[in-house]
Amino acid sequence: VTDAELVALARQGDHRAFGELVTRHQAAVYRAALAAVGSPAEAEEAAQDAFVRAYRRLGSFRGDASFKTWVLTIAWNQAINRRRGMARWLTRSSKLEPDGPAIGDACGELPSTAPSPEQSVIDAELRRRIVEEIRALSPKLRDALLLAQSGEYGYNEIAAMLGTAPGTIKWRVSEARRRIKERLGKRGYDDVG
Amino acid sequence: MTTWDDRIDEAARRLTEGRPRTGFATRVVARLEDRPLRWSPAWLLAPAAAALVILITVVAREQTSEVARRAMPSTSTDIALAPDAGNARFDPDTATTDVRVEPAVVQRAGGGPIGVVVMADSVAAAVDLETDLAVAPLELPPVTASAALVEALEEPPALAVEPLGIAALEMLETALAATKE
Repeated sequence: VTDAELVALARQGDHRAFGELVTRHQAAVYRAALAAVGSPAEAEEAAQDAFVRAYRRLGSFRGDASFKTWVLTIAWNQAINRRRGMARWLTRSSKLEPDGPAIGDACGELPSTAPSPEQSVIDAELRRRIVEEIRALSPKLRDALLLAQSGEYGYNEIAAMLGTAPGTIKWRVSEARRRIKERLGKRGYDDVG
Repeated sequence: MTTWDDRIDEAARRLTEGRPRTGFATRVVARLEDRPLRWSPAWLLAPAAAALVILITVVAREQTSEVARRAMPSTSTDIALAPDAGNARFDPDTATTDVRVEPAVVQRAGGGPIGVVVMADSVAAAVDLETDLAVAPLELPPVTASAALVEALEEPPALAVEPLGIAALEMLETALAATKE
């Protein structure tokens, strides 16, 4: 069953059909919300709100874009509104993973990056610095970078979500990387590549 | 060899990694089914309540203005302000009268005047009592009673009143004396 067929059923009030659409796209919607708000709990609420809003607006879905792109746009707007309402979002997000535990776990999963205890400490410190620099970026650059690297969306989808051109998204991602590297260089880190 | 770009991309990917909790789709569908039931009464009641408030306000204002209108009759005000209406001639022979009209200021409970009225014991204008105030004579059919009916009426019995005895007064004086003691 295609998304279009499920949308047609959902328009007739079939909640199960819409539930199937939710199951298909919940990961993409959730990760977009997480990129915007930075908190898993807030992201899940934003994702729920986005799907509920999408259901109520099914009548306005014309099918010009895919259902996924359409619902991602709604989700992004919901999440951005939620982010604007979070007065201390930056403080909370910095407390989420202050030392980058996810990154540290990833480090443990990759044996080639941990040849020695000394190297592990250096890598962990570098990753923590990178996470700090990502969070210090301007919202436009940070959103583009996080969405692009989530692996869930193409540039066209990100452009539709953020309401800009795909070329602009590519530039923002590149600019985000450049600024992070520049700041890391000022902190005394050398490019290992 | 891992470059900074790779490390940056990996860190960014990790920051958005994760999935919603189990049962996410079920919770969304539950919200779809719950929300209309929860909100529809509110959407129905809100306009009804607003309409009720407006209706009550309009009725209350109508009643208030009606009371004010009754407290300040416009004819009295006009007469009080008219220069010649202050005195009306009354001649007993010609059924007209000289009556001084004394307008009075009516005030609200808070003290502000709301108008001028003529007091009840004043006459507003010269009035021809014979023509303007003449009341048509009341015409009643003559009362007729048959002689048999009159005779059937019985004369009420005469009341017999006994004179007050002196003994009763003496008893009263004794009782008063006992009370004083």
